[in-house]
Amino acid sequence: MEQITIYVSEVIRYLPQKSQSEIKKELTTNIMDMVDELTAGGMSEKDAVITVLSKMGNPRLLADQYLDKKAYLIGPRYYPTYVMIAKIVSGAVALGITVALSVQYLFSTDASIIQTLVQWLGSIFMGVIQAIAWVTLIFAGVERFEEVGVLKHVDVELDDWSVKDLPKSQRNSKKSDRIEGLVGFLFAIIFLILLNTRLELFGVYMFDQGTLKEIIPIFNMQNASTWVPLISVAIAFNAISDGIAMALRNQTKNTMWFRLVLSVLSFIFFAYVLINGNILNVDLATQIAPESVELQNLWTWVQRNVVVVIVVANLISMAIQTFQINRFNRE
Amino acid sequence: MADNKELLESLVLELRRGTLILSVLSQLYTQEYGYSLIQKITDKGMNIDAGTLYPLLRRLEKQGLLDSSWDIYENRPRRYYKLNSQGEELLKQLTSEWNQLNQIISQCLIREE
Repeated sequence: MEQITIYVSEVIRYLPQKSQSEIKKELTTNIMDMVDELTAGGMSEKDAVITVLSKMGNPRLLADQYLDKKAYLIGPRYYPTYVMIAKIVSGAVALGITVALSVQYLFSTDASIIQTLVQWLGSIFMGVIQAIAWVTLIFAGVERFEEVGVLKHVDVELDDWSVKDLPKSQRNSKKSDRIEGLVGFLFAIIFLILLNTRLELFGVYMFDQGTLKEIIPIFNMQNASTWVPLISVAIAFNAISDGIAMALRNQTKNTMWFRLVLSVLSFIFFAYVLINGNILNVDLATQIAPESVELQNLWTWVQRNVVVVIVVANLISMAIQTFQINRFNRE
Repeated sequence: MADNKELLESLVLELRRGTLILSVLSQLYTQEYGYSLIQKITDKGMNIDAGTLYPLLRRLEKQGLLDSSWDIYENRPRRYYKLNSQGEELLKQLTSEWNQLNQIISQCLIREE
């Protein structure tokens, strides 16, 4: 029976919100009627469900039938791919512009930071709009040419659908969750490696006439052996949680709970180390500029407040996770 | 010859597709819900996919040819569809079109020596 629920939810997720609940009710009853007919003939319920759902075919194509044809620019067949490509292209454009402008700023002698920032915002705005416009145009074209038959066989997997392709539970995670998971996972791993092998790289780079004079460490190097392992454990918990988000196409309630537990554990370790670990280099400000009282004050303020910032950020993240579990329960 | 068989299948499918709406409308003088309608049509010898019929019913209703109502007193809530006056009128016209077409095609199919 659960498979029927999943199948129906796979169909309606492509449909407009206002017709979803009606179609959900109607389609569920119709499918159950068909299953009943088969079980009355002696078939097991499991086999009957598989037979009926196979007969109904790919949920995306069924959703396509429910929609009025071509009342859209990009239909349900291509929409998920369209969104994914648009995000990737926009991200790449934004990254490219950022890198280009950073290089330009670093190497130019007369560029002011404000001017560069304004230029950066303007370029990103225009760049991302153009990127999305092109992607949209291409996908709208694909949608129309399919009608003509040029691309009729492009999306072959849609017709080769079987019940096995149905997700294991009702879909909750969006593609963006997986991409966020991937980014988080990669950052965590890189950070872990650097933290444990090249801790001295985290610092303020002091240049003298273009050559690197020294790196003043941000972290307290003297007692590193006591706090690095604890922080590593905290980061590892986060990495595992992100890894799960990245690897799973569909998160279930259990995996969501598991990720919340990992976040809580990670938070406990982080909070403990930040409060008791004395992990920052107390003398950073004096080592950079021995005379500057402002810098000294700023650094003292940072040391005092970094705990608060990280604790609040973690609490917000955990609250979001709890909210998601809650929403999942209601669906 | 295998190609020919495949071609025949797709042509028959095409031919039936054109008559689908006529078959569906013709069975809705009395109210039916999705699955009962499939059975009714199948019993008459016409094949129709559930995946085609269910969305089709909603479309016909949207076009103003069918009326629908929920029956929530059965063990499962069912949505019943029935021709309305506009649907009946259209079905009459469509039926006469069909009869004409039938005659024309029959004429065409007589092989002249």
